[in-house]
Amino acid sequence: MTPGSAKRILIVEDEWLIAMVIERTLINAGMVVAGKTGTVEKALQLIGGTHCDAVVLDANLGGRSAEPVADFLITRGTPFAVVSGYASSYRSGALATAPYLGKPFDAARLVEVVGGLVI
Amino acid sequence: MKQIAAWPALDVLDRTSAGQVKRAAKAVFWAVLVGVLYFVGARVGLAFLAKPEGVAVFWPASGIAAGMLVRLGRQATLPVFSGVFVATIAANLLGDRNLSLAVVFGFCNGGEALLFGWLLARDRDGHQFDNLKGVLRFFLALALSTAMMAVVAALAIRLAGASHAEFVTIWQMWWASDAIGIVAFAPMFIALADRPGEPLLREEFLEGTLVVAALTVAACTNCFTSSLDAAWWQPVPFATIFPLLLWAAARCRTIFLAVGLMVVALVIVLAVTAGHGQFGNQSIPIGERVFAARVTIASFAFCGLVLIAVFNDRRTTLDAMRVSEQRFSRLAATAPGIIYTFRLDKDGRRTIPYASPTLTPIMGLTPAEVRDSADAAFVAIHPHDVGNVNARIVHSLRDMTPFHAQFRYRHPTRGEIWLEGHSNPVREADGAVMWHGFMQDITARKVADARLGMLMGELDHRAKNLLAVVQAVAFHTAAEENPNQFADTFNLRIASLAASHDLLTRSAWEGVDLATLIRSQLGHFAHLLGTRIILEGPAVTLKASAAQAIGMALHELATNASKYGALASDEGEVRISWSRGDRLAIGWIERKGGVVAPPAKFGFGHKVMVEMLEYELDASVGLDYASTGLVWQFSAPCRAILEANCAIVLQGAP
Repeated sequence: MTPGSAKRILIVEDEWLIAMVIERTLINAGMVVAGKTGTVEKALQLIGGTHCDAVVLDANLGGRSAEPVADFLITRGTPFAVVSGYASSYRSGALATAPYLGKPFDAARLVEVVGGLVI
Repeated sequence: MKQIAAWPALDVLDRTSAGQVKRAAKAVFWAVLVGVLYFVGARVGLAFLAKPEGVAVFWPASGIAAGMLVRLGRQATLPVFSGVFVATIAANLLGDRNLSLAVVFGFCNGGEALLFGWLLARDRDGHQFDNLKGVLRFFLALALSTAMMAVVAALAIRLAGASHAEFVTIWQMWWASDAIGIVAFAPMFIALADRPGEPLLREEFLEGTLVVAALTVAACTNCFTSSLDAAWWQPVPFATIFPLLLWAAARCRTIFLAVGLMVVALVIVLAVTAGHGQFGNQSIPIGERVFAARVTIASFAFCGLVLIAVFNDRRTTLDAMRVSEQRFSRLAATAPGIIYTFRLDKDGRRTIPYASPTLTPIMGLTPAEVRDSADAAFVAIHPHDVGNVNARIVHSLRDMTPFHAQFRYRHPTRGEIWLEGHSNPVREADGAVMWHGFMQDITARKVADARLGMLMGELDHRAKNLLAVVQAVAFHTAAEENPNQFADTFNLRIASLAASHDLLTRSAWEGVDLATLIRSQLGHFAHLLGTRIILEGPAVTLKASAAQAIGMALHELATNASKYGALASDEGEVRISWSRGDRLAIGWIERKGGVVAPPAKFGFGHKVMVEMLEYELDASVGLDYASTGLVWQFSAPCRAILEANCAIVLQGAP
C-alpha cells in the first residue's frame, strides 16, 4: 500500500482508550485516521463533513445504539465495520448488515476486517 | 358395630380390677334387661294365641333377643344368652311345662339369638340396612337360625311326649313363629344404631312419627273393618300400606320404618287373635289365617327393608359425591391457576364445560361465558401465538398425547399476560375429546426470564468492554514504558480501574460519589487526607461512564504527584476542590512541592488527564505546570456526567 493510496478511516468509538488503540493499529497498517469521535451527534457531523473510505463503528455509543450512524453510512454508501462488546446476536437493523468485530479484538483481525472494507 | 354414645358399651379392653367389676356389672345389667324384655315378649306371645286352637302366631321374644344381641355386639353374647335362658325357663315354669323341657327351650331360644348374631356379623360393613346385601343377609340369618333351633325344640317336645302332633308340624310352627318374631321386632333394635353421628332433627322426628301413625291407622282400618268382606276390599290392605312404606323408606330414618313394621305386625296378629276383619274371619280355618298373617307380615317387612336399603345406598353414594364435590371445589378455588376441561366436539365446536372460579381473575372471563363456546378465550390469545396453540391441540388430538403450550393472552384489564396450559386428552363415548388440565399465569416468570436474559447480555457486554479497556491500557503502557517498569505501571493502572469498578458494582452501576471516587484513587496516599490532601466540595454523584474516566485521570494525577509533584516531597500539599453549577468544575492544585517544570515529552498519563476527558466527557481541561505546583482544572456539563437522581450517593466507602 503506497502512501498516496492510503485509505482514510473514521473511528466512531466512545471509549477513548480503545479509539486510540484502533487509531494506532490502523496507522501502523498504513491507513490514515480521518477523525475519531464518541457520540452519535458528532459522528453524524463528522461523517457529513469529512471524506473517508470506511468507518469503524462501535455499536453502543455512551449507552445509545449507533443504529442512526449505521443508517446514515448505508445511505451514503460508506462501508463500515461494527465493533461491540455485545454478542453478534444482539445487533439489530443496519448494524446487523456490516462485518462484526467482537471486543476485545486483536490488531491483525481489525486490520483484516477494515482492509476488507476498502479494497 | 356402630353404637350411639348414650348406649353403654361392654369394654373388653379394660383389664383393671375396677374395670373388671364395671364390666361384670354391665354384663349383669344387660343380662337382666334382656331377661326382663324377653320375659315380657314371651308373655305377649302367649297372650296373642289364636283362639280357640291356642296357636302362637308369632313369638316377639325371639325378635327382642336377636335384635338386642345385634345391637349390643359380640361382647354381649353371654349376658344375652343367660338372660334369654333364665327368662325362658321362668316363662315356661309359670305355664304347665316341666323343668327339663324348660331348660331345653331356654337353650334353644338363647342359641337361636347367638346363631342369628353369628350369621349376621360376618362380612358386615356399615349399617345392616344400608344396602341390599345387608337386608338379604338379615332374612337369610333369621330363617337359618330359627329353622335349626326349631329342629332341637321339636325333637325335645316329641321325646318328652309333650305334644302328639307330627314332628314336622311342631318344627314348622316353632320355626314360623320365631322367624316372624324376629322379622317384626329385631329391625327396631338394629335400627337404633342408624346414622350415629347425625342428631335427629325435630322435623325428622315429626315426619317419622306421622308415618308411624299413618301406618297404624291404615293397618287398623284394614284389619278391623270386618263389615267389609266384599271381594273388592280384598287387595285394599296391601294397596294402602305400600305407599306408606315407600314414604317411610324414602324420607325417614330406619327406626321409624322399623317401628311402623312392628306396629303393622302387632295389628295383624291382634286381628287374628281377636277375630276381626279378614284375618279374624272365623269361617276360614285358623291354620290358613295364621299362614296368611305370617306371609303378610314377612312381605311388608321385606318390602320395607329392601326399600330403605335402596334409599340408604343411594343416600350414602350422594353423600360421598357431595363430600368429593365440596373437596374438589375448595381445592379448585385455592389452586394457583385454572382447573378446566376443554371439549372439542366431532363437528369442531369448542367448549369449556368446566373452569374453576379462578378463571375470572386470571383470564378475565366468567366460567359461564365459555361454557357453551370457548371462542371468547381463543379470541383473546395473541395473534402470533394462536396458531401454535391450535397446532398443539391438533397434535394432542391426533396422538392422544398431553397438551402443553405457553402463549400470550390479552387480558381485558391487565393487558398482555403469559399463560401456560397442561392437559390430558380423553376420548368421550360420543366421539368428542375432553382435555382435563391446569392453566397458569406465568407472566411474572416470563418477565423475570427476559430480565435475566438482558442482564446476562449486559454483563457479557460490560465484561468484554472492560477487557478491551484493559487491553488498551496494556497497549498504551507498553508503548511508552521500558519493559522493567511496564509491570508496575500497568498493575497500578489496572488497580485504579478495579477501584472505580468496585464502587460502580456497589452502587449497581447507578453512579458514584465524587469524594468517594477521589479517596479510592488516592490509594496509598489516603492517610494524608485531611492533612496534606484537602478535599472540598458538595456531594455529587457521577454517572458510571464519567466515574471510570475521571477515576483514571485522578490516578494519573496522583501518580504524577508522587513522582514529580507535591507528594514526592514531605511538605507538599494537594487541594482537590469542586463545585457545580451548569458545569461541574474540579480543581487539583499542588503547592509546596518544590519547583515544577513541564515535562520534555507528554506521555500517556498526560493524555489520560486531558485528551481522554475531553473526548469522552465533552470536558474542557487545563493543565498548568506552574512554578508553585501543578494545577489541573476540569469542567464538564453536569447533565453529561452527573446522575440526575443524586439521592444515590455512596458515602463512607474506603
